[in-house]
Amino acid sequence: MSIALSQIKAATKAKSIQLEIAGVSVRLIPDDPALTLTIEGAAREFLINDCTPDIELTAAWGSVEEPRAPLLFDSGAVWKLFDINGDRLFSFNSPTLGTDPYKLAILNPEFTRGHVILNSNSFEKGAAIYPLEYPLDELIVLNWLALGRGVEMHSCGLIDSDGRGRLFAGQSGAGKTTTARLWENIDGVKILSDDRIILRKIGEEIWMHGTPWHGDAELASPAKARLDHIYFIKHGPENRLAELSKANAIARLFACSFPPFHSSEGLDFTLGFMSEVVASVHCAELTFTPTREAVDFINGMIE
Amino acid sequence: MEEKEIQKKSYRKPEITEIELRPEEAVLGSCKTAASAGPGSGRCNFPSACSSLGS
Repeated sequence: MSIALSQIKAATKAKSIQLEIAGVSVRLIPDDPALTLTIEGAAREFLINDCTPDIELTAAWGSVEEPRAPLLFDSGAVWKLFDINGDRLFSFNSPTLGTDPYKLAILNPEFTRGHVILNSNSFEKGAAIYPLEYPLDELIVLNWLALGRGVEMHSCGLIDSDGRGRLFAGQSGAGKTTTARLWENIDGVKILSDDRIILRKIGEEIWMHGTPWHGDAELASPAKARLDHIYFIKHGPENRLAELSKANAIARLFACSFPPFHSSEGLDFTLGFMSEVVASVHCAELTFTPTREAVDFINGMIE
Repeated sequence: MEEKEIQKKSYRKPEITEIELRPEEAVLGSCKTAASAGPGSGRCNFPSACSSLGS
């Protein structure tokens, strides 16, 4: 197998699909007459009309085998990252599909151009495919953001009925989906996501953006809001808010983020960005009960 | 001089606070939903991290 991003021919824009997630536009172009693209689930909410994209990707069927290249990172699960002469190659494996990867994606170091190769032995023949299927879409956007543009948080984000942006951050089991369900039917409240929120700086303010990568509540919106409060959530017997030191808040933000562990520059940016977030957004630990009283408690805290 | 000494902050012993990091979540290692982890997702039987949902 020989793979080089520079050798990939220009594909037709016809039948392409284009998404925008947190202000990042991604165009996906089929580079194979036998490939029919589709898009499923919440990602459909993020489709946009054709415009000049930040990231342009082509996709085609192909013969795929394990890359022979320096390994940069092994996730320990479905994906690994390799260095191909400076370009970045994601390889996706599943033991249910044999030893060869079911998909490869090669991107330039700027994460602005790339090509996806779908293993024709791994997918149903003739089926329409979404080549960026999780986790590839999220990995591409995360790596593009890590080049000085933003950070994704494991969190539930919502805009309350007064237009305030509230972020409820926590790892699995902390109560993100529970929080989303407590707030979702309240008049004037909009849930941006019950599991993944992207933070970016707009001017001097930190804004939060919804993403398609929802949790069990399946709540996902392409809307955005200025971020006013961050709560590090945990279940408890009563509703309680505890202030945090800035160092503690930064550490908790990091633990609830998806940093690019393979990139020292990306890690530097991520920590610096979190320092900026903590400097401009109120952060606290929220212990809460899974009841409507938790919502009233938060609303009662409004200064 | 004496007044300045009175205004000194009292010494607080540095404390270490441990914040849990879950690598399998931080690297997108776990499945997002039961139906979304590649073409084999419907038959997923990953032996470790990928067998659990990471919401």
